[in-house]
Amino acid sequence: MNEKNILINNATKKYGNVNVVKHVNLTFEKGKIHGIIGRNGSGKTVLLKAICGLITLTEGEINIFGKVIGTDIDIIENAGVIIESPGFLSNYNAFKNLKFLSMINKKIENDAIYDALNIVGLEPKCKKKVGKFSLGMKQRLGIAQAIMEDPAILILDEPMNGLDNHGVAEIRDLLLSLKKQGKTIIITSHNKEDIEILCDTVVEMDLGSIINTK
Amino acid sequence: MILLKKALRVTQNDILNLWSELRFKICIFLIFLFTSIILEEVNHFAYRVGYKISPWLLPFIMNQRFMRVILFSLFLFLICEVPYSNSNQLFLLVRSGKISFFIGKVIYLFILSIVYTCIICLSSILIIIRHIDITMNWGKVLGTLTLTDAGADFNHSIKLNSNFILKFSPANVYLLSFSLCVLSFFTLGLFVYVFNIIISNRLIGNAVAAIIILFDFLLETDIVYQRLIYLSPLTWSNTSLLDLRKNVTVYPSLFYSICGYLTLILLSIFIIIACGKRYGIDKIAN
Repeated sequence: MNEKNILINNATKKYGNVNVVKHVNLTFEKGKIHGIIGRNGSGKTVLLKAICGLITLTEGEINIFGKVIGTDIDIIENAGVIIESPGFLSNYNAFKNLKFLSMINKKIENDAIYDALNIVGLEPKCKKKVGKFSLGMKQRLGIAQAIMEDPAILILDEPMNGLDNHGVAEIRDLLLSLKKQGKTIIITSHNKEDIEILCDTVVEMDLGSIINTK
Repeated sequence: MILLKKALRVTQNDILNLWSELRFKICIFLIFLFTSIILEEVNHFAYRVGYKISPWLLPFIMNQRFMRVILFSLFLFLICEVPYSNSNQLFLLVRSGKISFFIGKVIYLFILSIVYTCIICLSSILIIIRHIDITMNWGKVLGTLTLTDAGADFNHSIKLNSNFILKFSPANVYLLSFSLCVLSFFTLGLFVYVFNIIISNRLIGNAVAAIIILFDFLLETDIVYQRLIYLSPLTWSNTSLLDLRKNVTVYPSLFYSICGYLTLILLSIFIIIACGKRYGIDKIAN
C-alpha cells in the first residue's frame, strides 16, 4: 500500500458532456513542492477539489498516502487547503475567523493562531473586520488558516493572487521553509515564474489534460 | 462521538455567524413589522375596552393564513442556501469531514427553527407590551374576541379558535403551538436541504419549498379540497385545522401531525447523510 505519495489514477471529471479533467495520471511525492500551471479553465482547480475530496470523480481514483478518497476517507485528512478565493466571515476580524475554524478540531491554542498570522504578515490583534480586507490581506489570511494547524499536506490554489512583490517573496520563503519541515505542497498558478522558482516538479494542464511534465 | 462533537462545532460556527447576518436582521425586522400590523386592531380593542391582553397570542398568529405565508417565506429566505450558506464553509468542510458537516447543518436548522419561533413569540409579546396582562388565563380580551362578536367593529384579522378558549389551558395550547411551529420550520428547512443536495440547482429546491408554502395557504380556502391537509406538512402546525377532539372533524389528528413530522424529519436526515457521502460539493454549491 502506497503511503509515500499522492497518486492520481485516470482522474476524469465530466459536467454534462464537458470533460473538465481528462484521464489525468500523476504522482506527487511526499515532502516536495509540486506545481500545476495552466491558463484559466484548464482544469487545475477542479483537480485540486478532487484531490481534497470536495468533488467526486466521474472516473478514476485519488490515493492520499495509502487512503483512497471516496472509499477509505471522504475528505483529505491533515491538510491545509485554499481553493479559489478564500472565504471568511466578513463581520469578524482575522483572529476570530481563525479561532472559529480552529474550534472544529481543537488541535491548537491561541498562540498557534497568533504565530500563523504573524508568519503571513498580518497583525494578530488587529480589530479590522475581514470584510474590509484587501484581496492581498484575505489571501494572506487564507494561507494562515491553511498552515495554522501544522498539516502534513498543503493544497494551495493560486496562493500568490493579490499579493505584491514583497508578499510573493514572503510566501515563497514560507513555502520553502514548510517543505524543509517535510510537508507535501501542491500549488497551482497561471504564472509560470511563481511555480518554476518554487517547485520540485511542474505539471502543465490545458483543456483538462496534462500537456507537459517537468 | 467525535463525529457528533465536530458536528456540534459546525453548528456553533453557523450560530456565531447568524447574529451578524444581514438576512437574519431583515427577518427579525419583518417579523416585528407584520406582527404589529396583525395585532394592531387587537391592541386598539384592548385600549378601547380598558382591558389588558394576555400574552398567549402565538397560537392565534400561527392560525392566520397570511401570517403563515409570511413567516414561512421569511424562514425560507433565511435558509435558502443550506447547507452551503456561509463563505467559510469550504474551510469548515475540510476540517470536519462530510458527515459531521451535514449533521452539523441539520442541528443548526433545528436550533434556528427554535430561535425563529422564539422571535415570533417575543414579537407578539413586545407588540402588546403596553396592554399586556401577565396571567395564566386567556384573559378578557382574547376571550371576548373569540366567543362574542364584540370585536367586529375593530376588523381584527387574527384567527381565534373557540375550542382553545373553552377546552384547553393557555399554557398547553401555547406549548403545542410552539412545538408544532418548530417542527414545521425544521421540516421546511430539511426539504430545502434535501433538494439542494440531490438537485444541483438551488433554485429548484427553493421553488419546491415555495410551492409547499402556497399549498398550505390554498388549503384554507374553498379552492382546494380540505382532505389534502393530510398531504400538507406545513398545515399540520395550524392548530385550527387539527382535530384536537378526536375524530370529530375531517382534519388530521395531533397524533398524525406529530408522526408525520417525525417521519419526514427522519427520512430527510437519512437522505442528507446518504447523499452527502455520495455527492461532492459541486452538487451542493452550484
